[in-house]
Amino acid sequence: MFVAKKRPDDKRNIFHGLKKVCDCDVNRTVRWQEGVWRSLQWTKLEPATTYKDSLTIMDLNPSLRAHTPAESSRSFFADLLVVGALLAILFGSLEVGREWEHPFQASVEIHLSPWWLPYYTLLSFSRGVVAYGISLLFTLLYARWAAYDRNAERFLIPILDVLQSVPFPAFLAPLELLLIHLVPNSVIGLELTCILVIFTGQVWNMTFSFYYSLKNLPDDFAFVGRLARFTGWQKFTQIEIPFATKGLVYNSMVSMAGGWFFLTVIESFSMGSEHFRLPGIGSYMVVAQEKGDGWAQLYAVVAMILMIVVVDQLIWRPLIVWSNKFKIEDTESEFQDTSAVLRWLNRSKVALWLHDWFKQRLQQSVSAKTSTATLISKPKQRIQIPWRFLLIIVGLVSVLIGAYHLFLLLAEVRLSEWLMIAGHLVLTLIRVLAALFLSTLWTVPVGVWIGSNPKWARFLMPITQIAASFPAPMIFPNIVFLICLIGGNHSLEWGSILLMMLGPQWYILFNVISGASAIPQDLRACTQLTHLVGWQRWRTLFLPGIFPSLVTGWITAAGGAWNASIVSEYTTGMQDQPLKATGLGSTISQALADNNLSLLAAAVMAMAFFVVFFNRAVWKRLAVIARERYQLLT
Amino acid sequence: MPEPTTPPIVELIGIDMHFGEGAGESMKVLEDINLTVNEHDVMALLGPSGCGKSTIMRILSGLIRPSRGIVKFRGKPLDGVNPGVAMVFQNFALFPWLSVRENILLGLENSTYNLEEKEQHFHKIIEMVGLDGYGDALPKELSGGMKQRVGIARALIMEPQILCMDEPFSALDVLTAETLRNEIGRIAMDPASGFKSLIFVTHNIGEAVYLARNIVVLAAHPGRVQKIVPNPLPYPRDPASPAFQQLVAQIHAILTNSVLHDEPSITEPEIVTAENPEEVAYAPLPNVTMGEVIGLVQTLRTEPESIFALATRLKKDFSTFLSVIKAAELIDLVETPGQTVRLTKSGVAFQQADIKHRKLLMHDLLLALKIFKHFGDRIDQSPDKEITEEDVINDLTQLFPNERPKILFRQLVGWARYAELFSFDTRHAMLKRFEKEYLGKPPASRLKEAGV
Repeated sequence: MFVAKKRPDDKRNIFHGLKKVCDCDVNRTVRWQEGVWRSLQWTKLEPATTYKDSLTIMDLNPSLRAHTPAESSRSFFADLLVVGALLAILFGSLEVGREWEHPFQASVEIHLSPWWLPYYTLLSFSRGVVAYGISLLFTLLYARWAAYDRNAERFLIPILDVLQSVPFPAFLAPLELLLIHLVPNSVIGLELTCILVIFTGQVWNMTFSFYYSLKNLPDDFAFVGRLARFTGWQKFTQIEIPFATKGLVYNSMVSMAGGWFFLTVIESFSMGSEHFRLPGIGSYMVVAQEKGDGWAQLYAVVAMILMIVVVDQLIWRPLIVWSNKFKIEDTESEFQDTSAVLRWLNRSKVALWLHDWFKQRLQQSVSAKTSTATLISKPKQRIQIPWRFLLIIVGLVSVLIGAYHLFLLLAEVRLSEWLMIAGHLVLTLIRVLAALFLSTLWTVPVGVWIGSNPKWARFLMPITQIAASFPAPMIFPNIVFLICLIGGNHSLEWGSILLMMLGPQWYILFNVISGASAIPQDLRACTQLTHLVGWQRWRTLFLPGIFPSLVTGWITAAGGAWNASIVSEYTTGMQDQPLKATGLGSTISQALADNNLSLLAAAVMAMAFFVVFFNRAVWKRLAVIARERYQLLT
Repeated sequence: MPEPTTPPIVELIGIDMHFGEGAGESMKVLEDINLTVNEHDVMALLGPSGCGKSTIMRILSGLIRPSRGIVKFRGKPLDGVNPGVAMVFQNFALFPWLSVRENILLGLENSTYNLEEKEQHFHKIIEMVGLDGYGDALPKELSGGMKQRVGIARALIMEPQILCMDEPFSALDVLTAETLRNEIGRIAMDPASGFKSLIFVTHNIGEAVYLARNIVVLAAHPGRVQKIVPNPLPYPRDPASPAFQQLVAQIHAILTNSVLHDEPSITEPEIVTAENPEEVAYAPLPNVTMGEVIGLVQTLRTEPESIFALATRLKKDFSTFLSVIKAAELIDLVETPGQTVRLTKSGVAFQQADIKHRKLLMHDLLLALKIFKHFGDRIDQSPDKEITEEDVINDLTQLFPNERPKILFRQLVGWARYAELFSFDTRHAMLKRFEKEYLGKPPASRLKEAGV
């Protein structure tokens, strides 16, 4: 019935387990189930071999063996590193925990000595990690609900689409007020606000990724789970998570980078006359810029880059290499990611021991569950229905209350203000499009060049990744200073386009590179042999070839540019007085600074709905054209 | 035949080609290739996979530069893309966003013709390849055969001096390929088609004999010219005629010889001990799966059978089939006296054994091969009783400079897994000796055994 089309010689192949189930005696289901479960252990770390064979030394080619003695010491070093890393994590968390105990203080003093920087960086990083944890939890729950509940799916996915387009940093201030009142006299309210805003910068693409993974789960896998009588939890951990891991890990990396974007804004901001400041690398930078301390600014930038590089090397790279194991397709790509850290971890006996210990715990809990849950096959009592019902009721009520308050707020907005919002919307739209145009202008030739030269791509990709992860608003004031030097105080009207480009342009570059590297060699050869040169070659080969990727890049970049308009149209130069460009972004920021909630709500809503409308009207159509006309796959 | 006054269209002189530089990538694909393409020649490049057929064609067209040697076009060294070449690709290489008409007219993009002349040419060509009425279609609407006609039309419209075709029919089904092959034969004979010489890559012997005037038989690892066989049969050729069959048989014999008996450049010359000259030296594993080898053993008998007849009977592509036989011979399951193949003693034993004993037998047979013995020793001598993929690939690179180490590595692991010789954990990229795994044992106790 099932054809084992995957690697037949892989012992832990999922179909191997299925076959056992099919062949087995019914009475022994439990044992087989165990076997299936074991055969589904995607994450197995093999212990060192016990093979004790005679050491026949017949050195045929000693030169080949020069590196073997190093291996045992490598394992020792690996152990040392792992233990060191564990201790570092422990003390780091303790340090961060202490920070949370501080009594409430709206604006802490920031020390500009570089010795404080590691501490500040650690604090900022921990905010990102906590926000990521919430994002992951949200993703797993929300995407699963949307994927399996057809009724809910119909509104959950559009909601996600709208939420994705809302510029959440605009809600920083109202959220702040709310949380400070909820958790008075503690810094926790402030921290939570910060974390929530980072969360809104991380979560959406992760949720979409997990949702699509679940939707694309091949039926065969679901059947295997059903035949092996998996519980819901087993299905989740053994089938769904492994299948979605690759997309989830990649999107987590992107999300983590995206979360830093507003770091300077969220760690240090003012509303009306009140100033809020949390210790962190973002506020360090803000203070350094206010005081005009050039060295401190440089330190902050270096610390930020270091953090990005370290996180990439210690967390994302190993995770990505590890997640390649969950690749469903059989083909092995030419470029294989490598990670030194993962190799070391694999060598370390401590890591192996920890892994086995955790796995055993997990295994015991699952076995316990299976024996009670599935064997005594009592009719399922559907107790989850009231839960869902309750959830919907609660959701509806809160939506209604929210809508009522929103209506009250919006009723205060005058017609002249609505007209102003409309006008500013057009101005910001022009800036966003200009930013996309300028980004495209440089990224297309550069991206095609990099994509056509695999050697350079291997070298340049990590660098562009770091550039993309760097939160551009950190250096906005410095760039604004330069812009003002060149064009005077009103130059932000055009200068904000440059600021807007800084982050999103990288999305376009990445997509162009991947599009260009996917152009088949034969098509390139064909243009060479028909002697097409210069513009002819671009017109027939490169531009149509990268078009689908370019559209994807544009869509992502446009979303980023709209969000960035809040900080790039309204920013502090090197002086106290904020610099403004006329546009919706600055309207939002101004309303925030003036504590004008009704105007803020109106402007944010206008932006969110326009972005969704623009996505539907322009980007989705372009994407359809790209798919139908310019897709390279035959 | 070459006229004394005009220089040959293309000459390849002393061409060497290496691919890749890093460890695990480097490999010599071509060695000392010398070829001359004269006017009115139809040349077939024929050989087993991995002999660099397509690479030769790409060097000849100037798409890639050889590592060593000279390419001459009309007597002058070639710099950049060959101006006299048009190419037909195995996978068509049509631009999916251009219509059939636009795809074909790409060939005239940079010609000196005016619009009207271009139009005339287009109509002539589209009629010649039988694509009338398809001008406005997009490539994705066409069947494979029709797509390849577009590819051929795009090449023909350039009026090239040499028309290069890289396995033009191998992505098509048998019937379509047959039709298109006949038409290429017709077009090649048609003076109106506009090209002077045709050179094509194929692994199909019948195709080569049907179309070519000169058949270049290539040997692999590294790719080199084995023999150039002239084909004097008059056109149109009849595949059923005795003369045709005889030529096919002759080429079969050359190929068989080059794959199965011409050992010196394939094997590693390093150690063949004096006491035991029979011992197989380091020989690379042919790119064949265990399943294919076993399948072959199951169909064979003890009395010798003609390799060619067997390939026909099993409907196997001849050069692929030769690699399977070569693999079986390496393992000592079959022997190949002359142009025939028969089971050895161990082959017979293998054929009659059940799965468990087959594995045991294969275990011993593979251990007799130096390459497996080598890595077995390496594993035993390493402190953790396992070696990394990197180490294996480094060794393979040194032992077989003419092979692609990564493919060889996959081969090695695949065979060793069947024979329960080594196990390889892809996730940690570690090779070790195989042990039976116990399903019920918890990992902690295994750890204790390992002395952790």
